[in-house]
Amino acid sequence: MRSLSKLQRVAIFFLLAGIIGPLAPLTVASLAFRWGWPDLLPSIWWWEKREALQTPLAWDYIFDPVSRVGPALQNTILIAVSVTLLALLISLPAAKVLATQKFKGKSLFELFLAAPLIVPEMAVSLGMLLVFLQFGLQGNLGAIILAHLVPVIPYMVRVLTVIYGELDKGMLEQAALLGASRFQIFRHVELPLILPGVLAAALFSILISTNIFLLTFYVGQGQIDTLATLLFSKIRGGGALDPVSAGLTLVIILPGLLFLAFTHRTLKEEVFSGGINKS
Amino acid sequence: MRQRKTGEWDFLRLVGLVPASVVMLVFFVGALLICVVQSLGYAPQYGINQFPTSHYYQTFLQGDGFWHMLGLTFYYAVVPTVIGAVLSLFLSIAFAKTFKGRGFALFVYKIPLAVPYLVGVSIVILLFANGGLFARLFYALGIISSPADFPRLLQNTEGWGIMMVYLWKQVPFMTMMLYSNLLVLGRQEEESALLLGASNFQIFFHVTLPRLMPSLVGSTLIIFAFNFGSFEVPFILGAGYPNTLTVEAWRLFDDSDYTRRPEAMAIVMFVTLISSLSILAYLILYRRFERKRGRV
Amino acid sequence: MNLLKILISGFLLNTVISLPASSADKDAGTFRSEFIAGELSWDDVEKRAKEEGSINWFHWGGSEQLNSWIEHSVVPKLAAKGITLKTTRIAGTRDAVDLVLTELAAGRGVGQGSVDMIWLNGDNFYTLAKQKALFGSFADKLPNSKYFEFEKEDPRALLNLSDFGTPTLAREMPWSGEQYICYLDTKRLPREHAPKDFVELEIWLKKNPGRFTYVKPPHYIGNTFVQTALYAFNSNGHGYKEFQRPITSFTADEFTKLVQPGFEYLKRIEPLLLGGETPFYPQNQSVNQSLFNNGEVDFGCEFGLYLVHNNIKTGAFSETTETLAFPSSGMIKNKNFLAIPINAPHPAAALVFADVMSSLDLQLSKLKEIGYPLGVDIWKLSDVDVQAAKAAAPPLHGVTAEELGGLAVSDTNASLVMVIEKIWIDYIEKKSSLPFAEIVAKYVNAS
Repeated sequence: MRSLSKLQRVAIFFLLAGIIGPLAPLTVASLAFRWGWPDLLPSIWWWEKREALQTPLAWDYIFDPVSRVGPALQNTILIAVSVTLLALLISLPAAKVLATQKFKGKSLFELFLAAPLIVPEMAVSLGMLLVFLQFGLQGNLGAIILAHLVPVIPYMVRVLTVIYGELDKGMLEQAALLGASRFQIFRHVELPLILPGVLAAALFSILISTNIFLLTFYVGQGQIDTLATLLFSKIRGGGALDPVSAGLTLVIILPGLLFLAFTHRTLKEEVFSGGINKS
Repeated sequence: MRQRKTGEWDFLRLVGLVPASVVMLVFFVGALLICVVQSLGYAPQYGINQFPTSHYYQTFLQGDGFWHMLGLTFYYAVVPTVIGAVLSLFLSIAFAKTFKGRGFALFVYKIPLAVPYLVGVSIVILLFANGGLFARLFYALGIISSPADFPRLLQNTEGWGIMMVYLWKQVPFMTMMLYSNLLVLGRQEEESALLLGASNFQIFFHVTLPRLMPSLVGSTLIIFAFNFGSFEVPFILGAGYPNTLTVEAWRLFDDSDYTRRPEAMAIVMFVTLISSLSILAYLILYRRFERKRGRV
Repeated sequence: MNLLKILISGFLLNTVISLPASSADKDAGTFRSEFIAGELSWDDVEKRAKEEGSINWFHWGGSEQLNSWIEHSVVPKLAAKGITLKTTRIAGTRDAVDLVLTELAAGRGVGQGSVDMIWLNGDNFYTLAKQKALFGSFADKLPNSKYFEFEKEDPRALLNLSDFGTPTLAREMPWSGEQYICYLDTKRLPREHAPKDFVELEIWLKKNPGRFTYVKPPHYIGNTFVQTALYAFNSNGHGYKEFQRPITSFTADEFTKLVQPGFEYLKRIEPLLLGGETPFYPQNQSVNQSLFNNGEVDFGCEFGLYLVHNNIKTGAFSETTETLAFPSSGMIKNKNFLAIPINAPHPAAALVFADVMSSLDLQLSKLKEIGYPLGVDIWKLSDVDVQAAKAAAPPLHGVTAEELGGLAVSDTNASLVMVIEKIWIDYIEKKSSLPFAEIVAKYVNAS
């Protein structure tokens, strides 16, 4: 019973193949100079033409400062980390209240906090652009960080509420009885207890932020590049994937992959049970 | 929200909710309100001040192609949600078992969660365009004689490419939701059912599925809502026209004629409304279904 | 609820207050009026430019070759003049136009904006001009303006004086040129079998159904193809001439008569295009090029005098690809420009930048290295420079510059383009059941 049926084996195989498989043709495409129909492999590779041309091709372009992939990567990380820290500051107190207090209209409030999950990104993006236009903040990194809070906070509050719900209140009360100050209780008792959950929520928030395109695109007004907006401007035409687009796609997958590899243990599925499932 | 109820309402107790509320009010509610106000004809920056008017809603509701676009929006949202839900149910149950390479599988399936939808778009273009890798394989195998013989999957209204990207990103997401739920629920009930002699089939429909129902409904809700309002995937992989309502909103917002922007806002608000109503209907249906089941 | 009310009124109030009050930077204002009045020497401008120290240029950033060229050729030239070039790569020129207009609406007037220069033409220029958001006449006051024909009497000056029918009034500097061309792979379609005009295209399509398509309007590449067809079937036989007039000068009947034969032709060939009964019109030139590369169509059309050369160079086209002069009834040619917004924060640096960009040095290197046609007018150059330009020009692959030059015609008036694209969408795409005259009337009367 606990071993896989044949069909399940096939399903898992296709899932994994569908995820890892495309990496191979992407790599080939990023190294191609000319890859015309109906060749299964490029007829001319990038390195064969590399010396002959003045303008950088494929990976030469991606690594050239001209491509601005570096600043885009930097922006992506900076935005994700700032959003996460800010969202934690905002979500922790809210989650604590939601987990420990009962009050009238609580479920309504929870619904309000969940609303960004069901409102189309386009509506939020256009409206947000107009909000920032009022303050002359469009095309500003700070504005993008503030904008990302909207899709991040709903997830964050939910995950953290569950964590606070499971917190052993007895320990906090004991500490208070022993005469610890509020800060001491937070620093020495509460924080260590919730830390694993906070970490997982933070990692999840980083994932969400790096995935966002439309919001960044509108609020950034083309003046702030992230990896997602760079890729969009390369492939928005929808024609055949050129070497730079293929390379850029790989460049985006790589940090995601590294991030997952390092956080695999912290980003445990268990954290999300209840957290997001509770709807 | 402000009324006091006999001592129950101790504001200090709830002060922790203030920062989150302020952020949501300003950036979320504020953003939506601006959309609403503009869609009703208040946009002085473009020389429009007819507030309140339903003119912009009427223009697109009565325009050519509205029903077609609404239909496409639903179609691209619902089909992958349903297919994805079935696949994810199946996969999450498989993941809960023990098998060789499980650790590896549990790592790899999360990769799509860590990359933007645009990565999926790149991959679909590379593999499924008419001159893409699969078409070339078919050609090499002698199945087709020219790219035109390969079924057109991208940039037309059938939207196969769009739905493939959604599935690529969302099957892992839903699988994670369901699988994490399975982990928490444990396996006692299934095992006792097994001891009582239930078949796998019976266990799935009478024990596992009902217990997973809340998280299945929750994750399909999120996915449906996302797909319904999604932009970049149909923009790149859909037909130029007709396409989804959000792409139409983009087109109007991007028009050189600024006075069309309120119409874009009207479309966006309409999409929000329809999306919320669909979700509400879905939840009501689900509640009714649960109640019925409870009685039986 | 109260909070919401305060919030709403707060936003609305903000909009109202910010609308009319456009303040201005006095210093920049003086500079602007003095420069336009011709009271400043070029040395004064360069001196001020050095003080300003930088310039923000917004340009379409979708070409790796262009981006590299700017970084490696333009940036050092400006650095030598003490100016740092900061470029913002935008996906569409509209973004920059939006930004300027938004800032103006928010009260950031002369000298207080954030955009110094935009690369644009057509409806984006028209929008800025209509909103009075341009710096003013400058292109004829630069030292390098000697390379441009601004004499109204010379018919060749039209490309500099009119941008899609909008008078430029020297408010933008012609930086580059373009011509609508077609490309074919001689290995698949020998040149002698390729159609030369629209009548031959129909005959060719009957023999080779499904082997051609064009980009879908309202994309500008698609619009241009449709315009070319309308020119060819102009019922008055004047080709492009009537299409220079603004839409307001036409009655619906007149316009119907002018464009009906062209549209009927496009309707007639539709079942012969790629996809047949369910015709496939690519969304943009990038999709069209992949159709061509995959051998789904035998030739494609878009803007790009040196497109074939550039794409062979980057590996996007095969070596046997050549340029096709189609149609012989007239191939649309236009220029694209650099314009300074009225609220440019570094106006002097922008002027110096415009002058540097129109220097022969950069014009020739742009032509040679990235295959962007000259913005300067060849007959204004000295014999030596003409020779240098000829030497710098990339190969055209299968046609001569004279041949293409002889077929060049003007672009359509921007106000007509908007109407034509809407008619195409109704009549061809949506297969509207209305009679053709009614479709036309609907849009002509609305403008």
